[in-house]
Amino acid sequence: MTLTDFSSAWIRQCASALAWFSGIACVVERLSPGLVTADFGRWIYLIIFFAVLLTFVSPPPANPRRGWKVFASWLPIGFLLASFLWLVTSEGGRAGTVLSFAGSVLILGFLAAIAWPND
Amino acid sequence: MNIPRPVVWILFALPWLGVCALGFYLAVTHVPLSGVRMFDIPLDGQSPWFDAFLPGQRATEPGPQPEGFTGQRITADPVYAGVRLPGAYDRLAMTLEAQTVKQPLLEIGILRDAKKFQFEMQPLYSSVLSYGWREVEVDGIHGFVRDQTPDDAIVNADPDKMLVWYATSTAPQWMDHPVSEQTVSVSLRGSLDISAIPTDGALMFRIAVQDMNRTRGKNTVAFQVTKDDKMLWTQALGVGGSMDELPNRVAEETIRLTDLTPGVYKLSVIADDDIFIRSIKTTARHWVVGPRLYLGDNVGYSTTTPSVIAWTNSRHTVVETFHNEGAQTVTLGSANVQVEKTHQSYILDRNANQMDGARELHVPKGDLRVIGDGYFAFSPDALFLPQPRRLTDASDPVREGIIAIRTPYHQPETTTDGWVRMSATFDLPTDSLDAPKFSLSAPGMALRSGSVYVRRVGLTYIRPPLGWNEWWKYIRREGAAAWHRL
Repeated sequence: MTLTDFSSAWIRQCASALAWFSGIACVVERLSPGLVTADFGRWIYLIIFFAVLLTFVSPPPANPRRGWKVFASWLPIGFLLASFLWLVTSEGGRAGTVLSFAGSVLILGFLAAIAWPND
Repeated sequence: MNIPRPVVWILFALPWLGVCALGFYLAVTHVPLSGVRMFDIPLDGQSPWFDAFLPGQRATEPGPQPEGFTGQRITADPVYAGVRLPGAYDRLAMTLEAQTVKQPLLEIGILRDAKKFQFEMQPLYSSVLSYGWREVEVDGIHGFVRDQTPDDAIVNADPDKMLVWYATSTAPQWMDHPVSEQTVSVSLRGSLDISAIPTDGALMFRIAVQDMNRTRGKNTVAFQVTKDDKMLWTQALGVGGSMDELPNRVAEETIRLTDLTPGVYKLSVIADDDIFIRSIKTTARHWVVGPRLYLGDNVGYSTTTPSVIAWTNSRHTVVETFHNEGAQTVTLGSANVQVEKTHQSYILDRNANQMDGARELHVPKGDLRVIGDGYFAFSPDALFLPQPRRLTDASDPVREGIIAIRTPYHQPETTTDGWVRMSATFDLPTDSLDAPKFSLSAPGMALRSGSVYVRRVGLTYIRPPLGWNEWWKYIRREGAAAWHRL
């Protein structure tokens, strides 16, 4: 693997790890408000920002690989966005959960459109 | 330049190992295997785990104070604080590192009934117990006895030489001979507790109540008879239903229990302050009301509010009126106090030479709430002491001849720089309450121009250590709590 390919792939690994971590943190914060922000304060939002930033700095290659591998490579950021949406709609109670569920379906559809653009 | 595949895999694994390590650290921190999680919080307002004392009229902003410490200065009571639960725990041991100025007594409580705003209070600090008293425990009864007094005084002391502070004592096994039914015309407002000795195995009270409809909503009066905190009888009486704001008719409830064993029975009338008790009929020879005696007005019932004379074994009382008509001079034995303003507490203590026996409480205009450390009767013959008096902020146990004080209170430790670590332990609510509320009470502090400085708060959350079975229970509790929040 060349250094250029490695650096892109390594940034993607960092982005995925941060996305899963901060996505789970959003779910925990939604289920137990204050638990994560008590530890991290507003730094958790910086971690989320970095996860998103790194994903778009070095996005997964969409072409020529398509299908499940591309879908899986976009899944961490999709999970992070969906869980963040669930967190920010927490004031809405169960209505917020329904809203964020609808948003998650849209995010999954968007990822599927990236993974299988011709289908 | 090509990078060898093993190096690539190792470098690829690094970010994952990093977040896994961080996640593991957080999990171990939040779910300690010992079941104990501790926080030591400087009261600077920065901690997400403790909400500073409120309201702002009674407590300063957390942070640097003019007195030279960082924390909060509390100047009136009560003040309220909240904590954020870090998970599903059974108990909370709370420690306040504090100093008191002209404030001999502090109590703290946890909110048990949010709708009724009821706190379960417990002792936090007493300056009078700091010197000259010894902490003892005999036969499971905890408390303090005077130096030079044997430990068993905590069990055997005469009730008149004993005080209680959030503790109960076993009531004497008394039984009276009956007297003919007597009627006492009163105007008592809201809830009250009557303690009575049965006569020939029976207890009979007829209580006339009236809903004055001064606030909207249907009212219910509940009656409960208990002995040694065990419920024996209960009954509810609906007194609402009026479509206008006129007072309802007077309704009478008869409480009659037979085949009673000797002892002291407590009849509790549970009602809001819209309910007035107009008369009490009973065959009991000894019966007292207290420690709260709320004398109401007769507006809408009769043309005048009568003068009230009661007899009391209280040595210290606090009186307060809520209407301008209640301004008056209130007398306790030879002591008196001028009640001039509404919604302001006035201390009325016995004079030092009248500490023994019963004394007359004279309230010429009624319309006054009296809270004593003892009990009240409407005839001198009916007065008795069902329980030792309470330790209050006005108590001076040494001067009053007290030799034992029953209380769950433990002597606090003092730091080298003179701050006192006051502790209280609470059973946490079993429902999924995320942020329990607490009330810190400093009775009479505003009257004394006293204050309480608090600089640190210690929170120790406790549950059983995590074994294999406890893991499953823990996950279920956290899951149930999370579901409740959704």
